[in-house]
Amino acid sequence: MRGQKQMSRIKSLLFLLGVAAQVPLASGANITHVVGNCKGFPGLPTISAALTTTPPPTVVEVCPGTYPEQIQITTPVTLEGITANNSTQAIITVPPGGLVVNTTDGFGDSLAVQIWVDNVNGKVDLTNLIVDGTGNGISGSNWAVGVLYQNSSGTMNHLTTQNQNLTTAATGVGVWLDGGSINPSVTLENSNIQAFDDTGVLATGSSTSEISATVKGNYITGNPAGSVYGIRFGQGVSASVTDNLITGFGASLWIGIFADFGSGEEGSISNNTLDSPSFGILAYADGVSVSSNRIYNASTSIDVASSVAPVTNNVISMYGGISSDAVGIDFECLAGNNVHSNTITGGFYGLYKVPTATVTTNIYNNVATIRSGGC
Amino acid sequence: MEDDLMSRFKSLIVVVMAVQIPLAWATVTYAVGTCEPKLTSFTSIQGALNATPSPSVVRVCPGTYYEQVVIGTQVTLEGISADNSTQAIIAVPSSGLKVSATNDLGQPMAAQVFVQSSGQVDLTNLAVDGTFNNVTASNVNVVGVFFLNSPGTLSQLKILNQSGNGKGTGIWLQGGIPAPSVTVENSSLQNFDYAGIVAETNSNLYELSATIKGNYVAGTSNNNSTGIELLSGLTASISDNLIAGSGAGIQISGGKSSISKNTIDSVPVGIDVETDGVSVTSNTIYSAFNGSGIGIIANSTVAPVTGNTVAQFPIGILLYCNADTNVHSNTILDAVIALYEVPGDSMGTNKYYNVGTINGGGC
Repeated sequence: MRGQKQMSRIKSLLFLLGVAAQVPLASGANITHVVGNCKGFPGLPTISAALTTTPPPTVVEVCPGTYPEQIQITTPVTLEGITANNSTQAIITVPPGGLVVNTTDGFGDSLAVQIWVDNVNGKVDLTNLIVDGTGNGISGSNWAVGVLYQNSSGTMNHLTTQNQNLTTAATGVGVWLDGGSINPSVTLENSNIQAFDDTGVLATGSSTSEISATVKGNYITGNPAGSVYGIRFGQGVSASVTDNLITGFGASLWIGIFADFGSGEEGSISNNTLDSPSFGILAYADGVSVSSNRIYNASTSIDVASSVAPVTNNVISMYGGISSDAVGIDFECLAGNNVHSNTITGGFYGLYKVPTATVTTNIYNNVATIRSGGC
Repeated sequence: MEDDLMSRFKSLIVVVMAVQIPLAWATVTYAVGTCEPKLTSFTSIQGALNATPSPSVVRVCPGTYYEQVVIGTQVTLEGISADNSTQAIIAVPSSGLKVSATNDLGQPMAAQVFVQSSGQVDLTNLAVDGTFNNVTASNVNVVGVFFLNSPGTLSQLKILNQSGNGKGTGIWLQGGIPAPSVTVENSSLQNFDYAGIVAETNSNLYELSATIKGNYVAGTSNNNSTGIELLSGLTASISDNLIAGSGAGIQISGGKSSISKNTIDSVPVGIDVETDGVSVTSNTIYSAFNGSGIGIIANSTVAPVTGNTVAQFPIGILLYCNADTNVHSNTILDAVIALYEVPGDSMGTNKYYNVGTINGGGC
């Protein structure tokens, strides 16, 4: 009798344990795959193999190592490099033979993407990964892209993209955030974007496909042979660009941050530090404020082609000797009273092409010509 | 009636005395240039400084002044705004720079502005340009501003082009008894070929208090210049500066210092700690140079090295088989080796991302 009771309790316990184990699986429990062999058992050989298993994984842990593959992500997932064997370096590299075009953008441009987050209904998070474009082999008008979020939401943290460069038409992009029908929200933070030959971080939308982009706390540096934009965004983008260090020192970076013309564009550019780009910030969008940035050693620190966008409380320090020809803020004969309360040091012109009726109060030190009109 | 007259006369004397008392303490202000016609004006800065009575304020009109300036008494020397400009440049005389002093290391100093005063000397809103300094002797320091045992504040200065013989330094602060306090803030130092700022005293005591904050310090990209170099005999607070260049960002070989919240960009060596009396906290250090370089050299078992972010260096932090758990709570991103030459198992806890080898190099 006692033995039957005990057996019954054991059966009940097993049943409960079984139910408990199954329920989360049926309702979307975490499914974790490992890529590489760093956890004491054989993992999957490639990241793509892990992502395409059925059911799809929620987490893919990538052992330290080098993975020569182009990756497409179509379901929500966290893809993260992990620490093992005294290393924490998972590098996604170019497959032998170079990158192949695997998608297009909204304008029909051909993109060869190393990590393509493709219209995912849910979040995709990338953490602690290096995406290296060395040997991409891109020619003609095709684009080499480290990471593309296309109509997808998620967060990239402690990501490194590098060497999206040496393309024949200077069409390398580190991280590209493209909007779409779900109006995605993407964050790029604490990451290192370097050695691209066109743009470090690019955010694009359209009149019908918007995107919310947060770009904060990143280090963005140009290509020694020349880069065009550190960060660029345009139509349909709601952007928050804060606390980044963007540098062209010892490299070559044409424009630090470019808020392009376009409808539906809004947001803020604040608390960034820019060192030695040719142009610091181009503020062309009415809905984007530019405040409390520090811009050093640019030929033109801020170029404002908007009579609306607030440009305030920025600190500008230019080369200021006997041969300086630098410009602090270029009003482009368009900006006006929306520009004020900035501190401008050095340079030949503090304010350039200022419309005659403009009333603007700023602080000037070591500026050869405080204000130049001509409009 | 006579008493009344005497009383009024005495009152008048009191009034006259009252007027005279402030005169004895009044500010004496001169101008340099022609933009302040109501002030006594001079054609050169040195002419104003040498005038009698000694000025307490010298206001420098926009323009270029080709002279080496020597300041021996308390004064405020400031560039002012006039005629749509606020740029007063102290430039090299046509004959080049001459040696104007010797420092306590026995080195000749060709200083563009030489300050030796027991009273406070403040410099504001001036550019000091060393272009065409014409100094070729390899033992002569070409210096933008040399503060020798003098208290003061240097604010909103542009110091540039102290270069040519490999011994060009933007600002050189030397202490002594009675241990002056000097602040360098919100200034820009560029194109030097030895150091942006040097602070030192040839003493085992702390005979200089230096505060260096909010400056932009950038050497040229093709030499081995140091951003800020702290030698011995001083206490220093180095904070909130942006330092870029091709040598070391900040190098500390003596004294007692706090190095915090600086951003160091594109240097082969970010911060080099070669003494115990320093704390290195909450700095951000990046390198755009691939192939060589070290984020922080921590050559001390005592100096706290904590809360820093180091990115994009072949070696994140070099512990020199010397530092150990005093190095902790740092974030290291993108390094071939995060910690190098770690003694024994005494490694502090840090965060690592995209690091090839976390703990490398034996001792």
